[in-house]
Amino acid sequence: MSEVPQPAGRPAVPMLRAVFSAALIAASATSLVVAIEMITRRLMRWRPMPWLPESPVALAALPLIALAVLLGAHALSRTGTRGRGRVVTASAFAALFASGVAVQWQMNARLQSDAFYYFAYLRSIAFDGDVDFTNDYPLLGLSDKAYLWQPPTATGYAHSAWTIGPAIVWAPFFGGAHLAAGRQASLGLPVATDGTSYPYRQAVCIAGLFYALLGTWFSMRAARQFFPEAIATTGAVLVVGGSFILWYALAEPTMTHAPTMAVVAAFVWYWTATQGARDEGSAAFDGRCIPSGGVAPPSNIPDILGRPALPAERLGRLGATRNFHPGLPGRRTLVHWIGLGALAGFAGLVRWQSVLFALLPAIEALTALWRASRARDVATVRSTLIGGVAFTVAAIVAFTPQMLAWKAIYGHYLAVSPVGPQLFWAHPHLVDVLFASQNGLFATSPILYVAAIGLVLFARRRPAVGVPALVVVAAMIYFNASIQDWWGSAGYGGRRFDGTLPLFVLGAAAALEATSALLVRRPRLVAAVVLMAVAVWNVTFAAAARGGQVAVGRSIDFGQAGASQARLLHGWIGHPFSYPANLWFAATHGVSPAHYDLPLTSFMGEAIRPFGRIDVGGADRGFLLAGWFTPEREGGLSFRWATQQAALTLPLSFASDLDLQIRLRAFPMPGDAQTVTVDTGAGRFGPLPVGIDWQTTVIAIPRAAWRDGPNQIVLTFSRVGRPGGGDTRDLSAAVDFVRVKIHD
Amino acid sequence: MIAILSVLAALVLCYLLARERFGRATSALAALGVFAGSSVAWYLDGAAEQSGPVRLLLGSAAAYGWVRASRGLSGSAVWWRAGAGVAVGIAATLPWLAGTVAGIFSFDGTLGAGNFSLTDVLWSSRGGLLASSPAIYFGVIGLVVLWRSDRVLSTVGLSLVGLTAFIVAAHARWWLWAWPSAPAFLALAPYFVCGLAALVEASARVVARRPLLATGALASILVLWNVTAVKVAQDGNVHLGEPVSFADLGAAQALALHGWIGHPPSAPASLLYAAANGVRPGAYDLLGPDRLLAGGAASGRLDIGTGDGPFVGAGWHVAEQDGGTSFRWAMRSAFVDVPLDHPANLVVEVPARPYQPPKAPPQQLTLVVNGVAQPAVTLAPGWHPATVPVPAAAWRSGVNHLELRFAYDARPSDAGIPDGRSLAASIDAIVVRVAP
Repeated sequence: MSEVPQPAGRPAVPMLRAVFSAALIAASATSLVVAIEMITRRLMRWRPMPWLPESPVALAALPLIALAVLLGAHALSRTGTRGRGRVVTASAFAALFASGVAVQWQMNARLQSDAFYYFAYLRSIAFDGDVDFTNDYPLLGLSDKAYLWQPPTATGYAHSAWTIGPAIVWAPFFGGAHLAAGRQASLGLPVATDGTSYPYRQAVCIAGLFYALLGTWFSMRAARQFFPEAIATTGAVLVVGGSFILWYALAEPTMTHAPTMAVVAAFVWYWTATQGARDEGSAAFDGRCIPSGGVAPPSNIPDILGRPALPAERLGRLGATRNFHPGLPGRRTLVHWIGLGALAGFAGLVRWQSVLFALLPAIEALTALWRASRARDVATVRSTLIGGVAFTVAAIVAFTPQMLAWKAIYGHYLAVSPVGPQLFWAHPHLVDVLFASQNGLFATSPILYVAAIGLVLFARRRPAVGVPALVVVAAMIYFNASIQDWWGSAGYGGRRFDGTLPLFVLGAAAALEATSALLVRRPRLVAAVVLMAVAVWNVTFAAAARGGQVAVGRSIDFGQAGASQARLLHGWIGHPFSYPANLWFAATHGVSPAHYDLPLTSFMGEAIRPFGRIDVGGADRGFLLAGWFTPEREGGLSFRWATQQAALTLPLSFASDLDLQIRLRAFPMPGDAQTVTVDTGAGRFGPLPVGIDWQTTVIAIPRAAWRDGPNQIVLTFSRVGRPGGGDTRDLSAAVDFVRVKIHD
Repeated sequence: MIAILSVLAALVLCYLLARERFGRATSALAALGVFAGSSVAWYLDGAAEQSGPVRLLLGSAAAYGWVRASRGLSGSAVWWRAGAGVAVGIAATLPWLAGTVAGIFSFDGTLGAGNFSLTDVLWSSRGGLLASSPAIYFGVIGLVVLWRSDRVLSTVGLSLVGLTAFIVAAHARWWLWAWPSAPAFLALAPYFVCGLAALVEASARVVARRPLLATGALASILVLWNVTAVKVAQDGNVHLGEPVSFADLGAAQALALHGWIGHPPSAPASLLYAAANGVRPGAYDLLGPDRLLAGGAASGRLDIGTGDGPFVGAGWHVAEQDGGTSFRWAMRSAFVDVPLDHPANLVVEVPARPYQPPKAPPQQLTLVVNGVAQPAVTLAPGWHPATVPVPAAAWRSGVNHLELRFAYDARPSDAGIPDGRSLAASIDAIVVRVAP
């Protein structure tokens, strides 16, 4: 353990060291106890330590509290030893794991969604010794998915559009679960030992958490190549805590996203760690780098490192200042290329699209080849080409399990499953996949917006790493935007960007560093931001009171008030993390930016959904304008009464010949029959008769009467009547839904 | 127009006052922060209580006057001027515009010094100064920070805050004029500006030393955004994979966050209340100020079926209406939280209508107060109040957990009525009266 000189004014006190040791023991013991308790509960439905709280929330809190104490003791008594840093990091991850296992239980984490298909590989290989899932799918409760095995593939197997990689990384946990299931079965408990019962399913949930944390650790290691430890750690914590991966670590851990992040993070770390510093050039290091010996660039922030990571005398020998920290080894060797290729192949094994990350070394290699050829550096050309070949061969070898599975299932070593989603390369939803409220990457994970900006800053400062990273992120955006269900189906956030998270950690770290440097120059900015937030709170509070959403002069529920304030603010400025898409939308269509959330992605925006529907009386917020009364129910039907003129917004992704369908019934009254006329602003259609029973009126409206984006529709009825009995509403018709579909 | 001019003039005076001690940027930031982040902003459109802008202007002039007059002086000369500043400041806080001397000491003619609650005046959701104006919260903290560099100004500011809070709290039903907070505090805006400026300076020093900490803290708001979004999704309040209105999502996130930590500017009162009563901090918003028997009242009423969400617990069906009466059906065991200002010998009246199936015995109600069962009473058919005397020893100050325990419940469907709910009795209200 190498001692680092003490920062001035922070003497190490023996008593504080003792406090730290005690806190470390307490934190480790707490994490261990909670982890054992929760894993046993989940795999064996048994409480080995009944004296612990029963509530998973309380159990989740215990390791975190112990960790907070440990970090406090560390801050007070830090000696600057690198060994201690590792111990604290290990304790932090142990506490997060123990707490996460408890939170998963609280959130009812289970095998679900696509995870069944990945899990089928594991069960089938482990228990049947094959990859024919014809028996596995029904065993796992997928009997309603008969299209997967009827008709079978050319080899007589069931179809699979999913990868084998998750099964490989889950295997150790699955093995542990088999022991747990066997133990319970031997005790006479009704637990199946065929790979389908809850111990196996819960084990892969725990595996998801493990790989999310592993991905976080590798991401930190990768960021550590370029940033001080505090910044790298903070960046990783922000990206993981602020993005969709939190959901896939805790709520749906059996999806493949956590393992994908872990494998790609390992790849990114290995790529950055084996990248020679020589290519960066001294200029990239602000002219203060150490050309050889592997030292990463300094922070721009004075004293932010707190302490140098190397002994002062060693730094002096290297010619560095105290703001440097150790980082990069020398140039990449053949072994490194092979390792990188193996990781890239394995990443593709876990998730197909992760092969795109091979672009990182590919761009680097192409750049090196270009430079070497210009300089007539034959040795570099040769070594780079050999490295590239080694990379490719290793990647193919690592990808072999999938090719063997394909060979068995489809009869070919390379196959495209017919049950997988289609790709529309010519029609990518580039804006939607980033900014839409339907799982847009930045809109639903705002921290990644900041990280993306940081990644641009990083690319400017470290082009050798940052530019390939930007290219890969751009490629991933294009790829995900081209998938049939670009929004990722019933997922949380931009889940298909799982592999880009380690790169976003680099971006977040760069953003942190840049912002910190700015705050050193402008320290009052923080106060200005906080006071601006307070002012926004106050103004929305006042507006809510004036609008009647907050009761004036009485005690109020600040939760409800906050909800009203959030709605008001959104109505004014829209969702800030959908900028600039929603601002452009607002400017183009003359509406509030808030309208961007629902309309653009709602109606006919996807090739597989050439229709749109407003459930009047149900989820109609944002669609209805004037002329509607409060929602009502009639049996299982929700509807609203409309007065003589009722308006609504129909958001269309594109104008077309459309059938407008309105399900409605007239308010019964004597005299002439009720009629309705539809006005789209560019055309008027009707009048059409409306009876007193529920009916669906269909109006064919030509493309010329529509426009792209929001269309304001006015329904004008011929008559109104009053129900009487104190009900003074003027009613024309009850409307159940309004629907548009492309005219056949 | 007069209101706007008064507010703007006060803004300039507050800025000038801050400039006596702080730089331009800090002074401007503090003045704008207090004006935009507190009840002062509410007066810009003239819709709030009319004397507010005048109080604000007078208070600002008084504060600037004595500080300006003290420039270059030291020792007792400064303190004399500060004393004059306190006197004028207090005068500006009082509602002398009401036109009567009596009005100085009483907002509504009732001096309720025996019941005053400084906690409510500062932190309650019913006009609490700090709860409704977070910028002023910062300003008060800043006045404490200011004590290190300017003890006279800090002392004067804190004294005025304390005295004004005491005067406001000493009046029964002070909240009737307090929206969003008692207008008396407006006269103290210049001191809040100075406090906020001191806090801005102090925070700037910390930020300069620990820029990463500050950056991380700011960025952690985005983590909080995500964590609350996860909570909302987990609760099923958004449908995964579908377009979502961020207005709806934001509202649900606000509710989720409030459910966890309550209203931060109501801390520490909300946290202490939660710890003392075993409820969430957010419950303080309504249970705290709406406690029964507060302000010397001899009775209090919880209306079951109307705005009773914070009070009713398990064992209740949805709210219904019977003519003009709102009520809920209770199951065999129904729970309700009754916030009390103080324990007393009370008579609890429960207007109830028992559900009595054919051939069933008369329904009986046992009131269990904080785990102590009281003698059972028999409910007569139809709407009648069940009266239960409960001694002071059974009550506690704060939240009291009441259980309405009935002898039986039954399903109307068993008697051929298409209603499968288990019903014991419908309850209109819980009324408590101080026993004669």
